[in-house]
Amino acid sequence: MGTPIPLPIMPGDLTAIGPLLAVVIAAAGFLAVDMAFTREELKNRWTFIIGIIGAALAAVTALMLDIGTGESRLILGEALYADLYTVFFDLLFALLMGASLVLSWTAVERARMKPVEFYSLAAFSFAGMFLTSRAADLLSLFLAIELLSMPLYVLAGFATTSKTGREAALKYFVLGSVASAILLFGIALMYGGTGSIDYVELGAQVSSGGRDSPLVLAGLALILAGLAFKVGAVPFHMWTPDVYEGSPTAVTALMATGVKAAGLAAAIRFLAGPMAAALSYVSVMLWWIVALSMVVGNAGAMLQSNVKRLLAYSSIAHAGYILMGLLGDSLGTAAAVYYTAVYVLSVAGAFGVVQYFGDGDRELETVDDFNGAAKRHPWISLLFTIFLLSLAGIPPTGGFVAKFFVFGSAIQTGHIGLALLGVLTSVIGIYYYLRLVIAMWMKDEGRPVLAELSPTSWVVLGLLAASVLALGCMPGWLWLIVQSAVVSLV
Amino acid sequence: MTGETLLALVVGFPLLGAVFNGFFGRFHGRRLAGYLACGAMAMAFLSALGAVKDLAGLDPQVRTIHKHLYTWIDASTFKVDMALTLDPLSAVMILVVTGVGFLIHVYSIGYMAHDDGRVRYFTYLNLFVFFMLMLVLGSSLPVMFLGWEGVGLCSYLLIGFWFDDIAKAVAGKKAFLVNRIGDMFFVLGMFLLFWTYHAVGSGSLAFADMQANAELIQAAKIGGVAVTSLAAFCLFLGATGKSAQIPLFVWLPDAMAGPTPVSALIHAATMVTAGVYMVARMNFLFEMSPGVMSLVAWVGALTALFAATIGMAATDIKKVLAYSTISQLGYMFVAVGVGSYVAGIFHLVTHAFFKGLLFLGAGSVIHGVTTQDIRQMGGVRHKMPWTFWTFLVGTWAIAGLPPFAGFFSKDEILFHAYAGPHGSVPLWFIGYLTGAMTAFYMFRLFALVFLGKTRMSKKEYGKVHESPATMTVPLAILAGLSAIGGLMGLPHAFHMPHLLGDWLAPVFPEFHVAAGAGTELGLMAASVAAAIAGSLLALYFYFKKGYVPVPDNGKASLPASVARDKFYIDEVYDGLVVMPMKAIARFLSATVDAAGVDRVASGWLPGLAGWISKGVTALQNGNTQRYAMALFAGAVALIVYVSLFGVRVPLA
Amino acid sequence: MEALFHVATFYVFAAFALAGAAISAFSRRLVYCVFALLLTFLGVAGLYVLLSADFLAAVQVLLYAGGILVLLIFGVMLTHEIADVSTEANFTDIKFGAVISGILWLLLVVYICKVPWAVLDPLPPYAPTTRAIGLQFLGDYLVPFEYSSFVLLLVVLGAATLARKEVD
Repeated sequence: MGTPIPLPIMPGDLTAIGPLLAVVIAAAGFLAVDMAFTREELKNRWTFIIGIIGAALAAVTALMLDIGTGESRLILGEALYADLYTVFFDLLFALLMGASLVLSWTAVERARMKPVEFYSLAAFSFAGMFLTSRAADLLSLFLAIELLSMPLYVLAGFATTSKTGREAALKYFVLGSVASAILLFGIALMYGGTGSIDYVELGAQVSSGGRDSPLVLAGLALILAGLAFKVGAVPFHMWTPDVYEGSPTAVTALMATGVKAAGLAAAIRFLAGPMAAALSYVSVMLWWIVALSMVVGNAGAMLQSNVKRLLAYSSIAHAGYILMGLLGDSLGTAAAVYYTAVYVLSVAGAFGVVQYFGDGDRELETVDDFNGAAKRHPWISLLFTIFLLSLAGIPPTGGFVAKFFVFGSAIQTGHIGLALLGVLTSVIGIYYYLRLVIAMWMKDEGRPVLAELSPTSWVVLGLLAASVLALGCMPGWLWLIVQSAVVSLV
Repeated sequence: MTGETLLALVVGFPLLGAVFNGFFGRFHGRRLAGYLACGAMAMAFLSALGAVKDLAGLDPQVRTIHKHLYTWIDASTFKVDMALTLDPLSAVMILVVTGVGFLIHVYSIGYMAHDDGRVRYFTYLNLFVFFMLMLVLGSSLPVMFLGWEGVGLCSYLLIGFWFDDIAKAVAGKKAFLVNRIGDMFFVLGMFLLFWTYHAVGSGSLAFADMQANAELIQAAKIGGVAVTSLAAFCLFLGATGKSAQIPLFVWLPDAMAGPTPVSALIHAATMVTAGVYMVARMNFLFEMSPGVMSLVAWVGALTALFAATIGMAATDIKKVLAYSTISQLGYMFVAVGVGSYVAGIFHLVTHAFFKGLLFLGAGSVIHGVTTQDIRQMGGVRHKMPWTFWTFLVGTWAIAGLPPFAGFFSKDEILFHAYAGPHGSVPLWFIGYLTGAMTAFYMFRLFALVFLGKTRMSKKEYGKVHESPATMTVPLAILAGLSAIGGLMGLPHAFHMPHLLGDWLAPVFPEFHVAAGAGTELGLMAASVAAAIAGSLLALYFYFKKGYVPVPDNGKASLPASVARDKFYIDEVYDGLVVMPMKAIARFLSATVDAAGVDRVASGWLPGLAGWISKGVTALQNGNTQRYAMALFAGAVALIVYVSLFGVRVPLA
Repeated sequence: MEALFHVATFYVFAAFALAGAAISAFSRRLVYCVFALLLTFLGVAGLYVLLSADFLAAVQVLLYAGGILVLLIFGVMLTHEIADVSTEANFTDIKFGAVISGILWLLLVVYICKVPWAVLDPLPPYAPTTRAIGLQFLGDYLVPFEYSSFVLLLVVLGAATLARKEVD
């Protein structure tokens, strides 16, 4: 046979995909644990240990990446990027993985799922997430999106005790497939228009006149639609309320944090990178997506009494706020990344708290169920309040600073109307987040039950709350990091 | 210690108190919580004194102390420092906030002695003071906004403090929502300023920088309207929310649901004056938009008049004081609106003294009498001598009778409204009329509560008792301040130094009054005459004649003795004053409150949201095929869009 | 002559694929839907052959027409109640859907006619493509290749998890 072809692996490439490897190894570890032990107790213990080690390893290897002068590097046959942007999101996902392990455990068991099964599937999803921020061609992007979604299709229907759960899973699966098809179609059109799926090549073509090709633009529109589905932006949001409500809370938490952040990581990388030159052609479209997301999300959340539905609608609105950053210049992109980080931390905390409230099998469902929580459980209510205030965008939490950045960049680039709408809708946002705060602090009659929190959970929740506050009180350091991370996108 | 360190301590102590009580209050118990909170306030007050002393030692031209804590936001072109600035204006404010705040904290120990939620109460109260200090000391608009939001939040928590009562929780919510509407305009104004300054190359929202670059943005316009006017207008609307002016005043009377010391601290002495302070602080912006200035003055005047008329008919002791607060805040806006910032701040300070005193006195009465309806009081004087005498001082002061504090500050405002460059006779006349009405309703309140024979049952009356020393001592101190507070701003006609005016001179633009001492003395005599007339009229009706206002629905039975021989006066009063004002009030509450705020808060905002929400949920019927269809339709819409417009209409 | 034959074959296979897709989309009986897929798979395989993609065509026949379809048929047959009328597929909003699909179809037609397609090089001679594909998998497309294996592993795992739940 002919001459052997060398594998396209350069020295240092393995460090660059270290976080990916760590998660994959953890996934394999979970499977091994499931087979190796028979006693539930041992299984659980080792699942936890392996998961935490995997998450820690992912974080450490992410930090080991040599960023050099800040330019992005292409690795593994130009399929993946390695730069500050990937490091940033690697750390975010590693943190989410740790938080999910610690905070969702109770909810996983409550939904009659076996932790080892839950986390072995979730690990695959995380592997997909780690890929979204570093995908350097459309094929990798598509695979990343599929890999992160599929475990959730299964997990959403995992708790087969409820009919709504099964329905949610099926709905998520069917609609997710449609979205994937749309994404794939968009990729095909893009390929048809340019003859390439490489980000670098696409970027070169688009900035040198390729953006005038209707095929490229249609492809861009459809890819945007596919990603907007994952992010939950209007008009691709319709699955969120039903699926968030019907899925086990541990899975919903994953959807609201990981999936959304991953979708955003991919969307920001793709739109601010290769498609930067074409973005001005579709900015009106993006404008409408942003405006509708803010209005529909906040209006929808306003009248919800179910907490998970409320958070689902509000997550639609947040998707709008984040995408607003993409309408601005590079500072706007940085604002979007910053907002993503703040949002993920706040929602991870909020869901972390929600998962602990409940009685036996039952979770707290409605806002009224939280009546009197502060009287019985003041500490966790305080943490919950911090997360909610951050989501509402009240200073001195990170949510305020993030909104300030996003609105500021929108105003700077002349989108005053949109910023105005953003301010207006965020007032509505305060209204419904406040309903939860009122229920907890100002009503007395309820007797919400709280599951027992392990010391680790307290630490994780406390850290999340502290970081949310820190991002509001001293946003400078992260803002600098985010700005240089965004520079490497272009 | 240097002034900078002291400045940090001023802010730090209340925060420390709040944190300590908030986190460890459960362990160290309710009793200690009050002492800790008071200790924190005392330390803050002493630090404030020290810092102001350092400030006074500086040359008047460079009289600022700047404490940079850290860089809050650094977005390359846009930087916000978390910094505190002490200048003569904020010095006056922090002394009022910490001084009066300390007295009210002490008073609260007595007032809340029997309440189970004391730890929570003192935590919120200290936290409030912290945010209020951030508001006045913040060196830039965003930092001020942090305090602005914070005091709103604390006020909301404290109004709804007794949350067992649904109505009180609702009142808290209403206050919060109305304030949010104001805050939204504040943010808009802030963004507008940021955007305009950024366009001329200065991304700083620090007050000093904005003032230095003010000329650069003078020409900026949006849609033909000067940005400066637009921004000033937005900021002023924000102020109307926080300071309870037309059209956003509706929350303040409801806010009386909170504990009375809270009303004294937040809804009389400090938070509600934040709007006045903000306008004074942003004077360089307002000076650039004369139209907005006169709007400020007129809104203030109309609010003053309107609230005073309602005050004349109110029968709840705290409601009377609440409307009186709205009315007095109106005076302050008249002052800053005609450009006489010194007079506005002067009245703010004296008002903090005597209104704080009146509220605390009212609290003392409520504490002893256990009702808030002044028709069911009377004769309290004999049972509560301390409260009686101090309340008299407060009433005297607010009525504008010499030589107490209110006389000096109110007369300065009226004089400047009449003779100042932006002043006019109608503006003065409204203020003048309001002054007479103020004297009337305050002495009416005073007479109904303290004088005459009691209208309580014997058993109830027997239980009335004087409040403990923790409450009466603060009353006495505030009474002293209300009595002599006017000395810091003696009229120029007396040829004595205007201490406050000289102190504040470096902060504000120069203010010239064309008219001479003769006019000033003439106006003074006229308003004293009006105040005396109002007071005597009230005493005549409600003390000498012993009239008692009719019950709300005109039917409820009051003791027969009080119902005698009051038809004539009631009818005149009703026909000439109450009915028209009630009509206006009804109109306002129908349009502004119900249609405006209540609708916004609970009607059309949810209505609109509900409408959208219905649209959303009509589609959101759970049918997967329909969801898929919507998904598909959205994608097709995107393609249609790029096919039709994408290529031809590149934006930006 | 050869070109004409080529074009004719293309249309025959395309018609197969389309007809199959249409039947499976519109038939109300699941069994018909599944069987109709066979037509589509075979049609697509034919198209691959026309494009000189021998390996793909073979895989298409083996895996899809052979493996997956059989699985589907077994699935449908073994699931009880499947023959019942109650499992008929329902349509909602068919008019709206028709309008949207119509718009998309129109757009596509316009695109296909108007867009300056990158003209393909003349078809490569019919030769084995397996080697080239293999090299690509371990070369430029190493990461997607590895990741697809991941996706497959995950699918097996997920299916096993879901299926075992039923047994429990």
